[in-house]
Amino acid sequence: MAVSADWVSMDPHKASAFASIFAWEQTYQSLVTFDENLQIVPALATSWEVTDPLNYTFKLRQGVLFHNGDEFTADDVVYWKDRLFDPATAAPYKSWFDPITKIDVVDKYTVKVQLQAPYAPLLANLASMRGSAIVPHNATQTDFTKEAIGTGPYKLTNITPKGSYRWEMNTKYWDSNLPYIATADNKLLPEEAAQLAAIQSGAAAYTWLTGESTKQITNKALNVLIGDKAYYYHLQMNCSRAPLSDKRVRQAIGMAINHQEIIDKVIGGFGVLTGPVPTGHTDWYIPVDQLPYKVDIPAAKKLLADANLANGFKTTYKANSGDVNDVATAQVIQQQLKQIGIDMQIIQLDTTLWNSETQPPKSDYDIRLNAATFYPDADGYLYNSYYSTSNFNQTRYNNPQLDSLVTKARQLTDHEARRQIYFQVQNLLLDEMPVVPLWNGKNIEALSPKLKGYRQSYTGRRLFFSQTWLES
Amino acid sequence: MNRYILRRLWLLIPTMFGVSIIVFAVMHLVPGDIVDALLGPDATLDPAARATLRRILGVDTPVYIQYVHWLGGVLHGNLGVSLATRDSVVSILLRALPITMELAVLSTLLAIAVALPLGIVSAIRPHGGLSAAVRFLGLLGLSIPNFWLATVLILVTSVYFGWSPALIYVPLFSDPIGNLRQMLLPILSLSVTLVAVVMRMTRSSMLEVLGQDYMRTARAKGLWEMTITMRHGLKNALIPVITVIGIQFGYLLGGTVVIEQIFGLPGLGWVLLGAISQRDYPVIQGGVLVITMAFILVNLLVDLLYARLDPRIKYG
Repeated sequence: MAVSADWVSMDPHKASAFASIFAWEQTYQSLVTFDENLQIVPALATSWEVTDPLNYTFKLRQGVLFHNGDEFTADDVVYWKDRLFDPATAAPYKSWFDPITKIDVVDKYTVKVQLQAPYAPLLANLASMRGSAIVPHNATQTDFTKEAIGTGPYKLTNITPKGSYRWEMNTKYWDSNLPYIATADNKLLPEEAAQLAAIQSGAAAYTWLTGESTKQITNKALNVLIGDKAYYYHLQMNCSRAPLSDKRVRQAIGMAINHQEIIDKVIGGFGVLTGPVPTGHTDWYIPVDQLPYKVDIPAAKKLLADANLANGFKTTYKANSGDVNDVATAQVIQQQLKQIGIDMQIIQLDTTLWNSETQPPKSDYDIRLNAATFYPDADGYLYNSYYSTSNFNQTRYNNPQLDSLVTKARQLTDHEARRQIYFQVQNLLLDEMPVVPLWNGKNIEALSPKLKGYRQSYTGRRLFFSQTWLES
Repeated sequence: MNRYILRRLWLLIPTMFGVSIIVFAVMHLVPGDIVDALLGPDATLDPAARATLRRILGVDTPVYIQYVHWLGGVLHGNLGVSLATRDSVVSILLRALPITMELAVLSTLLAIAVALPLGIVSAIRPHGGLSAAVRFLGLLGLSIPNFWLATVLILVTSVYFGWSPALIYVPLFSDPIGNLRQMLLPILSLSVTLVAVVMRMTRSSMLEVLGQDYMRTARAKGLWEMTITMRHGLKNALIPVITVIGIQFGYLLGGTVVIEQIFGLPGLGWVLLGAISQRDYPVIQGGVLVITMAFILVNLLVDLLYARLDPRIKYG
């Protein structure tokens, strides 16, 4: 199997990049997981009960063994929280679980999770595997960057940085029917031409592809799956900086942007229009035909004139040179903004530098592109990114009305009521425009015709890999 | 002679010391650090958690203290561990170095095998068709970027011959044939420029030597044409050629990076590039030291070869 991005680190609580999750998601599990429709289904917990919005009781699966032979019990769930909350772990996704106050062991196979405030996204966040992997409580000395001990269908072995890793069948997996494939070697191949060559020649049984490579496929026997996934690209504007702090200026930029042109030129048409929650995400998203995007140059110019910027202004766009889409998008937008007199300079930074400069806490940028992968709940897209004091607030947007709406939605348990609030929040964002959602990408996976039973997931992860088999 | 070699080897130490200081300083001048790399674009941490992580990784102290720590480790034969993967730097380098070495050695050998004869023949008959072809190919080889050639080679061979880049790297000594099959295209892509450089140098150097008086003398003595060309001509023409090969070889040790990345070969260049983009200081330091050492040793070897080729050159 070909892997397109470097995984950097393998510690399931410290690594947050999606490339890391792809590497170890067959190895670690959490209490719950997603099915194909993003509904929460049992994993290491067999059932759960919400006694009241502050108390969750989980019944744990019995007879589950970790790869080191330890039995999975309630103590491991407690250890999960301890390790995640330990400052020494410095877990980037700890904030997703902040409302948990404590986890009590009821008996060997039952735990009670207590929250300080009602927190609707809890189960979905557990299923996301971002910081939710459960490791054996006795493995306090294990260096998880080098050694993986989980409960999943595959052991993770032969980890070679910048090279490869292997999935080796866990013969004692709790679901004794799974997995079907005995071993799978994963090899880092960042170059698109190499990925294409590997899958076309049959050397690899699986690879991701970009839209452009998909058009170059000559081997008609390949099974190319093109589905939806959360891969949401959005233009962010720094609301703490003049003149972008002026709502009219942001709206003018939004009106000058031609979404379809960007989708066609940057990703070869393999994307859809999206609102602040990626298109296709269960029932949280604004349907494409209800999105308000319309290019209107005269209206944009008028807005700028109202803001005393009739002659336009100079601004900068900081692009992450490690993301090919970023630089390409910058160039298209540069041209589009020129029409309303905005002179946008593009500054390219390497990924680490880009992280350091443009991410919070520094947030040193005017305009930038950001990509968000799958977040399990609308809360992940709307609370974390726009709540005024959130660590994830990348646009420095500050609106008490939004703050109170997203806080309220988080504490409701009624799905429909939450949904209505999130629509309200999304429409507010589309009006205020701290962000211009540009597109949601497609999940393009090419499979050898011998690989059977593979199903795609909106998460972009390979959630059902253990249920695929090779036909000889 | 032996004293000369010892002195040159002794000089390795101050050179590497100097290089390590420069690299360390320059790397720390570049903004961003391992914490930004580990977090990735998807996540962020509050300042307190960042500070904790920096302390755990040991990148929170002043640069000179980090350098002293690192140097202390090196003097004890310990190059440290990677900040990203916690792997020991020595094991990372031992894994990566053979791949790059093989690429560099084999593409140099291939280049010599092709370029020397072509260069010689085109010098002997400077106005023939072959000479024109050699000059044309030389220019072409110099102008084609190797990453472009590599991409085209991959696309063409995969479509027409079902070739694929190495998914599982096969070490040379466990399966030479399987290994060479994987390395063939990378070596080809790397050696094209090299062939051009060496061929052009051989040709011009040979042309110069062929016009010398001693060549006429040799011919007047009635020596066999082959002996004249090889013993009297080539031997004298080789010195600049070897210099060029030495420089190119040294350059290859760090310059294979694009080719390694395209073909998915986890060699030194790729490892180093990744380490630089992740600000993984120990890996960068270790990698640069190894390349510096190799470069110096290759230069020494070239100097020693001079003395063998030309008895007038003596060291001591």
